[in-house]
Amino acid sequence: MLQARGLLRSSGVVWLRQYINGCLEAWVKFWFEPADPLMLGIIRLLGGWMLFYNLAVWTLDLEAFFGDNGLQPLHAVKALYVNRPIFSFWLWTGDQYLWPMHIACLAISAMFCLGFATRVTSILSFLITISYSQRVPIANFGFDQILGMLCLYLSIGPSGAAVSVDSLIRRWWLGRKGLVDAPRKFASARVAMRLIQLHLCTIYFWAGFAKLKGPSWWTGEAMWRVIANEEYQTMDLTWMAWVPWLPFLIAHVTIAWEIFFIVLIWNPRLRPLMLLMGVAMHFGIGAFLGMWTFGLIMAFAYLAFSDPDLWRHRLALFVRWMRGQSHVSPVPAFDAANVSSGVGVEDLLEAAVPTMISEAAELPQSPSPATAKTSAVLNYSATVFEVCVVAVVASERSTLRRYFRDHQVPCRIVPDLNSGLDVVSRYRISAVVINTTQLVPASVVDFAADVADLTSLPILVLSIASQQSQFEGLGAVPRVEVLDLPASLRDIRVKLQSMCDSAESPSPRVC
Amino acid sequence: MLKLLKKCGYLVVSLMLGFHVFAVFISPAAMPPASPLLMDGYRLALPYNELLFLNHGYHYFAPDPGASTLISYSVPRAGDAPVVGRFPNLSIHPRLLYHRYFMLAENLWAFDDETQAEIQKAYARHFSALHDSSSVTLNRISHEPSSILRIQAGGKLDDPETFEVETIGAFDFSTEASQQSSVAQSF
Repeated sequence: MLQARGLLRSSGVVWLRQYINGCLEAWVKFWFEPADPLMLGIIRLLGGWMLFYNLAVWTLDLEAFFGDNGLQPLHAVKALYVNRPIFSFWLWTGDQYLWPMHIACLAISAMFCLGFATRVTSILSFLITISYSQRVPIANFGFDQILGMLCLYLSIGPSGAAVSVDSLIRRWWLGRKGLVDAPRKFASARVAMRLIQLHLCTIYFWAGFAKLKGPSWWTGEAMWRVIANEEYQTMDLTWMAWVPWLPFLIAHVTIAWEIFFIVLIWNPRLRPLMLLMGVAMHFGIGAFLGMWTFGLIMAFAYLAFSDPDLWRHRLALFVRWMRGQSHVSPVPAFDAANVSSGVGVEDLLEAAVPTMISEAAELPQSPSPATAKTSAVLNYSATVFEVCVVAVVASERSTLRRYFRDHQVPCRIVPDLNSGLDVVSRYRISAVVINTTQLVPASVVDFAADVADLTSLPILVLSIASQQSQFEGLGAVPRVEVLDLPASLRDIRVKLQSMCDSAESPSPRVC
Repeated sequence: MLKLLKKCGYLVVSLMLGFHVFAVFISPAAMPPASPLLMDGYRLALPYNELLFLNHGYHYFAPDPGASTLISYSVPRAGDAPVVGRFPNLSIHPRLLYHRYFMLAENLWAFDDETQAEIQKAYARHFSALHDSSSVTLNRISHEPSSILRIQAGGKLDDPETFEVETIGAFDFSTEASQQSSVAQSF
């Protein structure tokens, strides 16, 4: 009896310990798992543009709003802030510094938008944003709140590490040494993205909840009252009076969407729908209520929920499309002398997609003697090598893709052997994995032989034990190994790593 | 040792993140009506929220979208009709600046009486100076959105019955100006 109790207690303790460890691991992964700073870079570019525009609009009536004796007199605003920890440099500067300070702020916001000296300009931009907002508290609205929120988080994360002049300078600097700037990941990028995500959840949750306090949101009239507000509207929507169910429906959907956003946005399947509805709502606010600044800044914040890999792909396509239109030849990845140091849009995008550029450039035909040696030595650490996976079945492709990406293994997954050969010949591949399900064994053997002719890559063939005899031809192909199925994804990864480790050529981190 | 320091670093940053999320969440939660518990939490995070400009309610168009507020002014001119204007008005461009003026009229009433009086005086001074006058009269205009029934019955959004005008006051700066000029002369 006592033994049973002891056993129960110890198993309970073990369970509790495992549970706590699991929670801690989940917490660390949620907040600190290194993330691609691309989305922060794009948010910075767009948010910085909004900040610059905001300041430029203030220029039109600067003295009226910010003058000591303007529409919001300095002494009245100061009286409002007595014994409150409010920061605004406008509270300590007089009229004589109004224009010089404002011009300096415009210049800083432009630098922030372009991502120049971003570590400094991001912090300054946040201080500028809150200084302007706190100086004119009566003229504030939602746009200022969201702009302040974004600038705060962009100053925490490495918002200048992508789509920025800083990244161009870094590329140029590395290029001089014969290095290629590979995409980097930062824990601080993850923190900043999470903070934006959670802040958006908070905003919508309370915006929805607060609406439940008002009867008009229950009766559905609230949306009509917004639409029929002449001071807001930019387009006549009074035709909705003859289809009243429409504003009522919009009111109900708005509340439901706002309240449940905090939960449903974390579901990967529902996320696109939630974001699409949000974008539609905010663009509607922009188009029909004239608040484009507010609508856009909210939509820009949604980028924190986006997948950076997908955006890198999109940007790479965009860059290629631009090149196709402008007939600009690709920049050789290893030719440091040709790395652009300009600040054109295309260059900014190039800085965002270094991997794609190396793909487009392929291997140089004849690298300059000065850079050839250094690149040969350094590309193990500086260049991203990928694993090429051939799998015919879509569900298997997606399982492998998800697994490899979860384990930070860069990969290219293709549905047939021909595409695999194309990938091997065009891109920087470190190993090939072939899932033989639904593939003709003879064609797999031919494919492996073709790959071996082209490169000296390790090839891992996944096959079920009963098919083993049909792959005998693989024995003649160097560096091929066969792994019996069923095998766990971890087994595949470990096997691949051991093959890469034993290879002479550089390999990616697989484990 | 390094591992311990790293763990401590994670702990400190995690605590800071936890507090930040709490502060962001509690600020709108404490919008009235709110329990004393929520108010205590709000007060705890208030200095942090005010410092970082995070002290917001996010109650967009809530609890009920109401009438919009405008401010009209009338500047008398000797021997001529007074100059009449109001803000916001659709001639203000770009739209962001229009919204700034809209908020000047809309948000003022959320502040305490003393601040309201100061700001109203500042509005009056601004518009009188704009038209080279020393006196001005300000009015507050509430514009109630027309109901669905009114529109169906042939009404418009700008029907006169939807506007309600309330006088804020008449402001005369002539004595202030003469006092300032006499002070200037004494130097």
